[in-house]
Amino acid sequence: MTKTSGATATGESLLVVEDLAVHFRTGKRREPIKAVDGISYELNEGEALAIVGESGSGKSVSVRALLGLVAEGGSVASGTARYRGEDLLRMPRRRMQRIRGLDIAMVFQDAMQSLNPTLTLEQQLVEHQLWHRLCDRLTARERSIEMLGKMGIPQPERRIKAFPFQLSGGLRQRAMIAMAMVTDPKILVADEPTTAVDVTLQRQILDLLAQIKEQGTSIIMITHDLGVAKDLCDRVAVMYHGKIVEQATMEKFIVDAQDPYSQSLLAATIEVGDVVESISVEPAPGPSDDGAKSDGGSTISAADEPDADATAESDPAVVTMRAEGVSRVFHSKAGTVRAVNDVSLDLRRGETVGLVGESGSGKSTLARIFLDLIGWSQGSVQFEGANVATMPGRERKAIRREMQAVFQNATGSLLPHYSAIDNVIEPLNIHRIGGPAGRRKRAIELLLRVGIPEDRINHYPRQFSGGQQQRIEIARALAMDPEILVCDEPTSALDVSVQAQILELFSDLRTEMNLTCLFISHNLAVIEKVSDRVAVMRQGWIVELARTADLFGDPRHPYTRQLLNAVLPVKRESVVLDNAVPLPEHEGTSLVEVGPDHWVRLDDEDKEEPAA
Amino acid sequence: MRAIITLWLVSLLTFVMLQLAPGSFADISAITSGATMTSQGQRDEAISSIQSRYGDDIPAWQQYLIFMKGAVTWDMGPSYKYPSRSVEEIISGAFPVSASLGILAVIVALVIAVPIGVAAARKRNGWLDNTLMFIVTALHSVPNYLMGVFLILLLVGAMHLLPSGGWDGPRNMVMPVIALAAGPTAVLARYVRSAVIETLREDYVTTAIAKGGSPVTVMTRHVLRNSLIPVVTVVGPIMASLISGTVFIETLFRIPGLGTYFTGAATSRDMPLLMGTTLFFAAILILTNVLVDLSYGFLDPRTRIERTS
Amino acid sequence: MSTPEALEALGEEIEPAAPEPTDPAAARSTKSQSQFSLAWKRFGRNKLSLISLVFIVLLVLIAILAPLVATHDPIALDVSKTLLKPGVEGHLLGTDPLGRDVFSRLIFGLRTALIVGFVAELAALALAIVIGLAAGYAGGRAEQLLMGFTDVMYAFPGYLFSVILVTVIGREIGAVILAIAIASWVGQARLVRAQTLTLKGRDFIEAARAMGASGPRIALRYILPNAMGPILVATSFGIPGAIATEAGLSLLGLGVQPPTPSWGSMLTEGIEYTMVAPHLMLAPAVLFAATLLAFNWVGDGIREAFDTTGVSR
Repeated sequence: MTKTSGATATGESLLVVEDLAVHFRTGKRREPIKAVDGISYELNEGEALAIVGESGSGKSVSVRALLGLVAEGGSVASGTARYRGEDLLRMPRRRMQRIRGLDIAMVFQDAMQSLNPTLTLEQQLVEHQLWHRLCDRLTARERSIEMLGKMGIPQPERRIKAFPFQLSGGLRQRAMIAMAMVTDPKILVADEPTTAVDVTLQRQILDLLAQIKEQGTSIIMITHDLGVAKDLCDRVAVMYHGKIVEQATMEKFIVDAQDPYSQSLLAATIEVGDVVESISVEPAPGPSDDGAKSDGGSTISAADEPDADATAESDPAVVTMRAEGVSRVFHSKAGTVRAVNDVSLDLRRGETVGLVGESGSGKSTLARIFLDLIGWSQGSVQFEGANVATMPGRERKAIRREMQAVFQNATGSLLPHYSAIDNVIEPLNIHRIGGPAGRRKRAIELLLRVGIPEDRINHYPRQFSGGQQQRIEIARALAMDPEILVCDEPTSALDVSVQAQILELFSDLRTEMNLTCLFISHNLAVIEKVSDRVAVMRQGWIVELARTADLFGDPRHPYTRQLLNAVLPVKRESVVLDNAVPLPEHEGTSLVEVGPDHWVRLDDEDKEEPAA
Repeated sequence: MRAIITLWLVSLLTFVMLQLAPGSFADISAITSGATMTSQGQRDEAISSIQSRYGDDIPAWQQYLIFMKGAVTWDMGPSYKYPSRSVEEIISGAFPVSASLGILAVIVALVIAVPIGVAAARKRNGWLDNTLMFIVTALHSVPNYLMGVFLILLLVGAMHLLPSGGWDGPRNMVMPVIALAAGPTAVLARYVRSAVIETLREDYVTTAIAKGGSPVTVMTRHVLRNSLIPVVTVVGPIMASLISGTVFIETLFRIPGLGTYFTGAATSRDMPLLMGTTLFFAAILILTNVLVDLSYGFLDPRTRIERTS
Repeated sequence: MSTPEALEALGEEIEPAAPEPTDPAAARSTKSQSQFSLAWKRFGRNKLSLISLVFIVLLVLIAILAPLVATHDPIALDVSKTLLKPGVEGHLLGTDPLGRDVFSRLIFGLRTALIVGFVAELAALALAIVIGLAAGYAGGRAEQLLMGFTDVMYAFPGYLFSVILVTVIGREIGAVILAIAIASWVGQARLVRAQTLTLKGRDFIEAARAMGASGPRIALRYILPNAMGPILVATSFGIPGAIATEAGLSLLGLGVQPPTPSWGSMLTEGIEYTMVAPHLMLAPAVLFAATLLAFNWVGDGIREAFDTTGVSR
């Protein structure tokens, strides 16, 4: 949301870093790796500084060096870091111990890893208060409970006795921040605090940090996400290959970045609104009730309405794959989980359907159902009109070839003991397509097409960069010339600049090969860019399904609006969607048509404000 | 409980294997022990007392049941080889001997291995780590009886410090304990080292340091506690190796412990004694495993809470 | 202490090739570098392991050429020449109480040890891979079989089981090998199963299924090769384990039937003469220890070579 305006509190200089360099030894005879290669910046009281960079830029290492937490093999090579005049890098150990946690506190990315699993919250919140001799145990406990409450944890006096694994992800993250703040430090360093979390939780954490800033603590935030940086911070320093290439106030940076790398970073950052130009704030006139169906789900069939407005490539009359009323239930010791609930979705030839949702929404499960990797408890799945479940085994195996997948973690998804080209040939081997020579030829073609140079086709996956590995994975998926390509978060683990390249490759390929795609992501901007139609999932239900322009231009379901509101803009203006949208009349749980090819699923609960 | 079933299976398996083994007690004793019986009369008496319990005329399965009943009630009848003593007598006499060796060996192992493991982990890849692990590997490669042999060569042969065997006093315990402890020390040191290294890498350790914890506090409160969990896993296998170890060490040093009796029983097909000692060993091992399992609940709150919920 | 349990305990230290982080250093190299070639390179850098490997090769050669290397017939008695000191009358290491040449017995004992070690281990390994892989990948009967055996074996202290087995099966060298193999396969199978389970959860296995690969294909071509690291380590520790078990059995009088020379029986025979003729125990003890150390160092070297997480080294 809004941050305190650019005027920093007192402007007094808290931390001055000059020419900091951190080197890692790699072996007796080799050159040290210069993880941080001479950076300088300042942090003033009451302000929030973002250190932004992609992986390998050295941003994490640089702040760890401030507290003497550099990993094994690394050491500070030169430079100073003066905290209120004292050089942190040359302090005696005792003094540094005093500063850690008391003056300067750090929180890391993953609360589950950062909290000791065998100690209670109380123990972990109280211990350093005692180490720093701030007060006695009883008072420390009081302060801890108070801080937990301030961080938004309900019933803190009860919660404090819990172990970390007993809390939900969001509460854990708050507890971790509470632990850092309970000693009232002057500086809080947050290393990617929102990277592993859902959009709604991200919003909450950023609000929490804003609150902390307002109460006087300065913040250094490490992130690779420009939207996050812009939301919270007043100033930004961009790191690349160990150097700070640009430093400026946030506003100036976004509007007028000077350095070429910064410019490319900004250019590569895609946002919601890039594709769909205007996001209307006014709700469209009330929808008709004609489309309302009773619960039990209904098929959204394009066959009913030949659609003149469909994107040029998609052929609405041909439905390649269809799920009707599909549900999938998982039974476990913890209970029964309804991963997918009564989902009906068509994949029309040539189109890309974007599937968006937070973790636990069921999108991955649905993808696997489409890939026939797991079964479904109810409903039917049809491929080119034929029911998959009742197909004879041979036929079913044959159609499996038409559905291929690209996963998120390319490093893990490629066979590590096969070379790149062998990886691409493997599906052809499995299904015995063509002869050995033909397979090899096709594999080489594909690898070249995705941008892997010919002299490296015999290299092994670990010898390639993350982006290249993803390309190889795409080549492998296309080897079978499938009808349908399912992409499950293919770019989520990649740096922004690489992501842009991969998405471009993806766009080109799907046009060239007339692929039908199911593209899954939690990133709305990516979805907006690649999809023809979009389905929004929550807790196993599809809550809204529409053409891209309609979903982003005129979102109807409260949850969709909530998601869009949580998006952090970078270059664009922030748009707040009003949540008070008059919902169409509905009975119980039902699917309502609110526009051409635009469906919304409403529950009784949706009559009120959606839960946070 | 599963433990009981396992124990029963062990007894069954041992008995069956013994039945399958060529040669009965009588045959073998006739071949080997002509010298131990001082007169024909004593021998006949011995055999008849055996036969009253486990005689040749009683079918095998019944012998088994009789024995099992005896095992449970701690009354297993006379051993074939030592007919004047009952099996439970022998076990009761021999157990303290083996136990004292075993317990001492465990203590030695713990006292040496834990500090070594921690020291090596802290200075990972440094000269201390390399040296210590070199020694540890050497200790680990050599089976305990071989260690015993070297000890004998050194302390008895070269330095004439200790007697080469027997069981008369504390001096007899020195070499067996060292030989028994060597292997477990090595394994334990290795385990502690890797457990500590793994734990040191955890984010919560970095967090604890970032909160201003002193190295000692962080090590004891965060690192060691959590390293214990994987280390406890290895206690079971160590106990097992100690048990097998006593078999060799006792034979080598001529110590009248359970191991010696076990081997003797195996070679002479002394059914009750063999069954008795095997079951006893197995029971100890199972008990150890049960205790290890229980300790998980104590050490790791996740297990504790999952169990109660 | 290379009992099956210890073996497994060791195995738990080894991770299957963890998802290798992209390796920019390797990327710069112009040659393709598979996991194995990389492991081999790393192994080569470890001087100790390399020397040990050479030593083992040497031992194997000697064992094969035993009849040529030995100076006398190892089982030939000569009561006129008992307990000679080393170097006397052409007996390089003297003679034992029965007049047999110690050096020749040592060499043939090496042969026995290596035969038992390699064959027993390979047999156990074969069984372990088959059952372990099946149990880990498919569960079912293989899993139940393995679990059943495990429970009993865990209660049965390792060597004890071999002792009893030997009394049952007999003391032919084949029987001893069989007994040792039966006692040790379970631990290794559990290791294979654990590695299989871990690998099964990895992304590339899911991707393989998405490609349409069948179960056996996945297990044999994708999982097994990636588990080879830990399996090789287990093998290189299993061989000395088997050798030690046999020697231990001989020590108890239950090993390979005399007159076939075995280091274990040489040790027992020698213990009475510690004061008088220490060379009787010293010679086999030293060679035995050296052999075991060599195998262990090779095993350590392999483990480090495959270890990407940097725990072992």
